[in-house]
Amino acid sequence: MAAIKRSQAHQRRLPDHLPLHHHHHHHHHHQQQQQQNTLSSSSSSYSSSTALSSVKVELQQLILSVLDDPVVSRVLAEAGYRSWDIKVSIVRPPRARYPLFLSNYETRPYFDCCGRIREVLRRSGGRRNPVLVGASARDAVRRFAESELEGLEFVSIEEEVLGFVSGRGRGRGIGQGGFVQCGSVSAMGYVVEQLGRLLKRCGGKVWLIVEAARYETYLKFSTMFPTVEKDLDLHLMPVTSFRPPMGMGGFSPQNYSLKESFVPFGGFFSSLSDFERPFGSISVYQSVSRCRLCNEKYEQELSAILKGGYFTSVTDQFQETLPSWMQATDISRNKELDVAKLYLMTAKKWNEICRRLHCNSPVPVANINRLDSNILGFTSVANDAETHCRNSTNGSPHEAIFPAKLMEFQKIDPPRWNIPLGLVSEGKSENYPSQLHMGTISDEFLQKNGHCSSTCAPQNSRLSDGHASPSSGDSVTTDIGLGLAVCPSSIRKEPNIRETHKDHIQNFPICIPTTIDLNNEEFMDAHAPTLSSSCFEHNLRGEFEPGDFKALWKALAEKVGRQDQAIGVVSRAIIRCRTGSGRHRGASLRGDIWFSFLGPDRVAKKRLALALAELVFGSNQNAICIDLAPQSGTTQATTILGCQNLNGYNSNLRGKTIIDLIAEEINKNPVSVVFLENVDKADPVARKRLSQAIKTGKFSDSHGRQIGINNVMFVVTSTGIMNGDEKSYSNEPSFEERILAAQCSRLQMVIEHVPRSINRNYASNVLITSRKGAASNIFGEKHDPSFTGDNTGYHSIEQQHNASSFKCLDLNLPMEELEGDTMFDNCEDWLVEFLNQVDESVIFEAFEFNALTDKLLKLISQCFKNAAGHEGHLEIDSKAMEQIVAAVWLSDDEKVADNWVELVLSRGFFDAHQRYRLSATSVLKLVACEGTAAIGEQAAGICLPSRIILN
Amino acid sequence: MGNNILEALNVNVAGNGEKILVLSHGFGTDQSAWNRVLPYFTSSHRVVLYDLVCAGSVNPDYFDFHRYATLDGYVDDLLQILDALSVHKCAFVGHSISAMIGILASIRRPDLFSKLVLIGASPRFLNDQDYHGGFEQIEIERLFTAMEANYEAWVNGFAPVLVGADVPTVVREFSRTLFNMRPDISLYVSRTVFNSDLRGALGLVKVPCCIVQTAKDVSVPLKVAVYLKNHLGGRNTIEILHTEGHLPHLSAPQLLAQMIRRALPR
Repeated sequence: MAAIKRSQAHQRRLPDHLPLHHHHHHHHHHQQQQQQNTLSSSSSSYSSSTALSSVKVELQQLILSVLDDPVVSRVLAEAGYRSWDIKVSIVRPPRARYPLFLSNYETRPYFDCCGRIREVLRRSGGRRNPVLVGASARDAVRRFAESELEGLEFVSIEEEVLGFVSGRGRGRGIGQGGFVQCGSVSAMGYVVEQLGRLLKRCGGKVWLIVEAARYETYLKFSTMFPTVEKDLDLHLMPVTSFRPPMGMGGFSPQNYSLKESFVPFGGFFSSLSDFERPFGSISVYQSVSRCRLCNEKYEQELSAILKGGYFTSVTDQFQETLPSWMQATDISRNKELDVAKLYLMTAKKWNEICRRLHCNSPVPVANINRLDSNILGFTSVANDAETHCRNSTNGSPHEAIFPAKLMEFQKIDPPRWNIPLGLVSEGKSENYPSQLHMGTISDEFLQKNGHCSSTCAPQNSRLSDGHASPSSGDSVTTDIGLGLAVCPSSIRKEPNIRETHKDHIQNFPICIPTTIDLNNEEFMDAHAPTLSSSCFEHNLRGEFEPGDFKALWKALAEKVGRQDQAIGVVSRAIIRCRTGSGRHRGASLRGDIWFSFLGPDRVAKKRLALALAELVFGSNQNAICIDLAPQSGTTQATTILGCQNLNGYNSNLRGKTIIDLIAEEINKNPVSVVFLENVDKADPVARKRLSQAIKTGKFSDSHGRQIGINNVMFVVTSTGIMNGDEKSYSNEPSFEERILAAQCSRLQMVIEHVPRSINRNYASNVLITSRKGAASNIFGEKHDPSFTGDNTGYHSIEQQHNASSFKCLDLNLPMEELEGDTMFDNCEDWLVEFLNQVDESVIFEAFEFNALTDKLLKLISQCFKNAAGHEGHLEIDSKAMEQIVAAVWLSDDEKVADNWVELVLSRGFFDAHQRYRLSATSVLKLVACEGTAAIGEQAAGICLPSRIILN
Repeated sequence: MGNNILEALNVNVAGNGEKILVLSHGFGTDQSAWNRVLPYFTSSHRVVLYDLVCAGSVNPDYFDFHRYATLDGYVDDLLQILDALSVHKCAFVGHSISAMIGILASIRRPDLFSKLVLIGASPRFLNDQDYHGGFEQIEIERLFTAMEANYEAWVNGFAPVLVGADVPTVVREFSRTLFNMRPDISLYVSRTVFNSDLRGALGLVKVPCCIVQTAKDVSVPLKVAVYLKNHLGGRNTIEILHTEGHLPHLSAPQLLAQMIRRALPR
């Protein structure tokens, strides 16, 4: 009711909305009456005009004012819509029906050049004779000649002209209504003159198509006859495609019948004499584009015309809805017009009527589910409804079709369209206010009673003691009868719940499909395990006992297996944020938590994020893992990392930006951990959105739709480290990156015999070697006591880096141009600023690759001794070693690694020993087969081959 | 609905100069390809960036196989974007397929463009009797077959070849954007490109053009650049970049940016 009142006020305030429809005010009145009728069917005093004025509201205005409601707009924003957008699309309805599809921008066909030729030919004014310029122009003309000449004759005068020019003059009559093809443009003035005369004489019935292989030829021609372009009405058009791309490959578009689009053209050409042909062709046309009823009307009218009867048509009733060209009421009086043209006009008009009124154009069902098209879909429904109201009150024969059309909409998506349809069509509009009413009642009811009894899932009852339970939302919404599931915000703490309710109830009468969309059972599914699972989640929502922190720490540490320090910090921060001493952004306490995981050990970060998802949000399915680094392309698929499916979202990214991907995932799973790796490498857009999200608590995608992140825990990672007080940021290249780049390939054993004379100093029987010599061996000298895994190879990189940055400082270049690179340095400032805003920055320690390598080597050495005795030597290529280390690091359990060494590697050693009889002079080499992308059969639980190739 | 195309094709306007510069990316990339070139122009130009409808960053639903059967569909898009932004005059930088689009757009609306910078442009990729475009029909068919057979493998093989220069990050970046394209669209677009022949129409271009060519480009032989210079209808210059590969804006952004800056006023 409030909305109705507001919209009335609005209507009064802004009378300039009305002139839009002013000239059919009369129909308005009808519509309003009808609406009034339905709106106030409970009150019987409808017949008096005073009562009328009290609720006289236009549907459009009503919607607008509902949208004006701050609560509504907030909910809409939460759902990803800007209510401003919706308003605009209501006030100024889109011209095209589904304008979001580029293909619908213009309906003219785009096949190949033929379409363009037709377009030129169809022009009514001057310059309607195309000159095709291009190497394939001749082909194009030929194709055009072969394709669509309904009722037209194509005459090539190429030979005649050539003959004439070369002196063998020969006359030939050119029939009416045909094309004249003029060959290579090098004819003489006479030809040009004659052609000009011909064109003039035949009025609009002869077209000239000129073709030239290259522009230069045409240029020569037009300099010879400077006025030719004007005389012959020539229109230059380049022909660029020498072969239509369709009909090739497996996915060419369906063969589009040229008839459909071009028959009107055929009709255009027909003269009075050939009556039957255009009729036949038009009927092809009409069957495609009109619904049955309109078709009947159309045929009726057409037969009237054919009988010579005068044109008194039903269309008059539709005058106001038709564009100006269709309002040619006096077609019949215009006797000079061909009957064929009349056909066309009538056909066109009825098509248009049909399209406008009955929404006959095919509805892209699949796409209507998309969020953004919903707005437009919605608008078009509203508009259609309006049109219908107007027309149906008018007593026109089209009332009959009305329900049919609604059926059509219902077919698309019954639950979504139910309400708007009910409102306009079936006269059940009393639903509308009553729903509103109900909304308020239940809201009050809620506020009085802290909570109401839970009627749904049993696990909820556990939670409902003491404070308003999330399930209360359920019962209210069920009362209303829309069947909303638990809303995402139900996990929020007690004070928020009531607010959410209100949102939903207020939200409901507008019937924007998304609100239902957001809360459909899909969400319920995702959500159900959360409610049932962990005890932490229960605790986190309510009061905390002192033991919680320790319990959380312990559970997390158990899952991650290392980085105790970091885990401690994280769990403390979670408890802090959830107990309310967290951050208050603005007035309200926010539910989103932001962490930054800095430093090395990418694996532990990920593991911790997954553990958080499991312990805080119920399941590690609730983790959204996305790498923000731009180069996470396909090239990584062969690395161990890719092999582990850490980057399994690559194909998801197709067709959208990373921001949209994040938004979409959050939308799908609004209660989750969002794990964003390499935040330092994020692109500028992503950076902006993240900053915005951390400030406002809303994540907006690239279309500006905002998504609430109240139940999201963001974890951003970066390999760099913030330096305490200075708040600066540094990032050092690390050993870890090399490990991460390790390829996932087969392992091979090669045997080599070394003569005794070469003195190889083996401190042990196992050695790591590098093919390119010791310098690039990332494992360094194993027996050098000063060896530290992190620093090896680092200095040389740094030097290189400096050298290249010096090269840039070329004094000859103007300074301005050097500034260009500063844009990318801004990244650092942004990162520092961003990291200062997160709830907690957690610094991870470097993984002890060194220790792991040592341990592995010891194990391998033991295995080797067992298999081959003390005699032989084993050399492990550094690439192979990297691979093993990487795989062990990435694997969840170190025991798996031990198993692999004991089973797979040992077996390899045994086999090698048996086959080659390893002696003191032989060296067994374990190398990675580079270049083979596939690892082959994988060992259980670890990304290493299950068998070692013996060569 | 002029604004829709701006949204659908991710049109971005950056910088705050008076003059307008349009950067149009080529096949297999998206507007992010210009990221490293962009900063050189933001101080002096308003830079319009957009994605071709075939780019991986555009919703593949928008790709209408009818509309984009020839380059004209793309030209329509470009002109619609410029109209929607109410641009009256602009300089246009186009790479590969976009260079072709720019040429065609400037034929249709000569008044709209003040300068075309054509990077890695070719009026026709296939060889013809007395024209060396760089590709034989058989090679192309083989390429298409490879694309159809295993798109990912093709991307991984094709990207380094096209990038040319030995810059792994660029190869990675290019592979990413190339892989982002839906394979069927990618194949369809390359067919469209390879089936195009602009040679006859070059004379219709009256806008001054700057043809940018790298020292070694696998897809565009140097002869082609010379052909373009001789046949384009306006005042034309050729600039040879001393770098390799088909994607100088990725592999040598600074060099290219400086070159374009020099070329624009002329």
